[in-house]
Amino acid sequence: MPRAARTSPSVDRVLSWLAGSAVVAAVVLGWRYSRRAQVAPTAVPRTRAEIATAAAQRGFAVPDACLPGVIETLAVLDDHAARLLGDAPGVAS
Amino acid sequence: MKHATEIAAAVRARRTTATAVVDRCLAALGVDDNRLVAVTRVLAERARREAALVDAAIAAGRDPGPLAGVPYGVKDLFDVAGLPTTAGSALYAGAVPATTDAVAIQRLGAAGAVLVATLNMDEFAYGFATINAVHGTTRNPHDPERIAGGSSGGSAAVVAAGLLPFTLGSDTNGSIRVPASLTGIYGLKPTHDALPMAGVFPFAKSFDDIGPFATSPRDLALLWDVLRAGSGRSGTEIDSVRVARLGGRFAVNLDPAQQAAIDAIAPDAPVVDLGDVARARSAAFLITAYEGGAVHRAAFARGEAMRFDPATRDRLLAGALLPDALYERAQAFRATFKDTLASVFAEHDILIAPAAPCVAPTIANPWIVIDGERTAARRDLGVHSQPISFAGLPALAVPLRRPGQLPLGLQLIGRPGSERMLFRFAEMLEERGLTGVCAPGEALQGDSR
Repeated sequence: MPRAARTSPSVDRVLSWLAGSAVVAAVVLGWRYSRRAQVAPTAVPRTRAEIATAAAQRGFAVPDACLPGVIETLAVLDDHAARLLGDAPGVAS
Repeated sequence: MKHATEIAAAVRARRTTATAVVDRCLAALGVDDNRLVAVTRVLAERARREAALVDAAIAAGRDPGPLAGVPYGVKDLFDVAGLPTTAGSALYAGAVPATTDAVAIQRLGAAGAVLVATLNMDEFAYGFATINAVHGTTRNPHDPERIAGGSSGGSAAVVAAGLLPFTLGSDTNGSIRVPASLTGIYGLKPTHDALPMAGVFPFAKSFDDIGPFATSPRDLALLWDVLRAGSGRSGTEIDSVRVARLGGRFAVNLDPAQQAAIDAIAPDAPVVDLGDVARARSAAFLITAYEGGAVHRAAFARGEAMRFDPATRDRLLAGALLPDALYERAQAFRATFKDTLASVFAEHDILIAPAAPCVAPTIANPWIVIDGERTAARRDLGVHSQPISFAGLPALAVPLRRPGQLPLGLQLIGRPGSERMLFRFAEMLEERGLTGVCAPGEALQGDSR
């Protein structure tokens, strides 16, 4: 009769702990992924590539001469977006 | 220039004629506007025709209306029959002329008022400075080296200079209240959608409103009746008004003279903190950028971006790139903030706050300090007005009476539909000598800071 594979109680605890950690990690990663998926649609385009993509989606192109000013303005708007969404450093109400 | 009510009374009583009033007005505009850069088009032929109609009505024994013979101007975004509506932009200089007047102009005309000019503004109303690439920078009558505020700066400057008794402007985030404060006159941002927007070039529809500039609360009350076409609500006796002062951010970014005036007006009034004011302003900023950009998306698609005023072009382009989801989040917060304000107005009738955070900045150095940081006046002079527009509330900018110094203003903020109460309260403040219009010469005689 073959002997059932057995491990020591301490190894069982380690394996159990690892399995539990893996579940917790999966849950955390899943939550973070889903949260990111929720937040991403509100992201303000900041890089030249993001700006070009966003403009193309709306049917126009940003002239090169306007890019510095557009980037600067989007930085300001991103600060306002962070404040609206609760991610900004505190400002006196 | 006399008050609108005084001019109308004189014309109606035949102590003068509408034609004489308008001729004097046109002559003054021709002489004085060169230094103000406030007028974009003088409508002399139309004005004389309208004045003649008023005089003919009086001669025939007909009622010429409560604004008989009173000259006025409008910000360059109102439709005027026969003229292109430019909104201060070269892009629309050759647009198809409007076929009819904006409804507000129609109502004023029916009351006997005479349109004499269109007035300078930031292009598409996007700014608080009235720095315009086509027409130039409107000067503050109290100090020509300083801006008049914006975006309705031309409308404010001609009233402050005494060239016209009243004008119309538009206010999306403070574009009436800010220039009224910086030029020392009265300016009304009405309850959202209370006055007719038909025939007005849009900026951001969630907040766009039109309103009058004038030199007395009594003139504003008359204009309110005319512009509302008799659909105004009754007011409240000011003896029973419960006043509060806005604290928090409103009590941080202001001139000490504004704080002293608030203390004098309502020494025992409670201080109300609206909570998320900074967040409200940010949400307003985002909604404005998004909606403003959307208005011009077709022009951008036609490759016309480089025809815009450089000062507004990049801001509108950036706004057109904002994601829909962010806009929706801002609108959702707006509903929450309005609920907060509604609960405040369950306990108070009028809230007092600064209209703009400081005196007019210089044209050479158009910067201000907000929250301890240097920032562009063109973008941030509306720090106190923007959260109020965000909630759709009526707000009346009143000038502090301080001859010898640059103008400063406060806002009297009411619940929706309470404009008449605001006029009466402003009248009471004027009677107490705390507020009132000072002529530019009067202010320049003393310390102009």
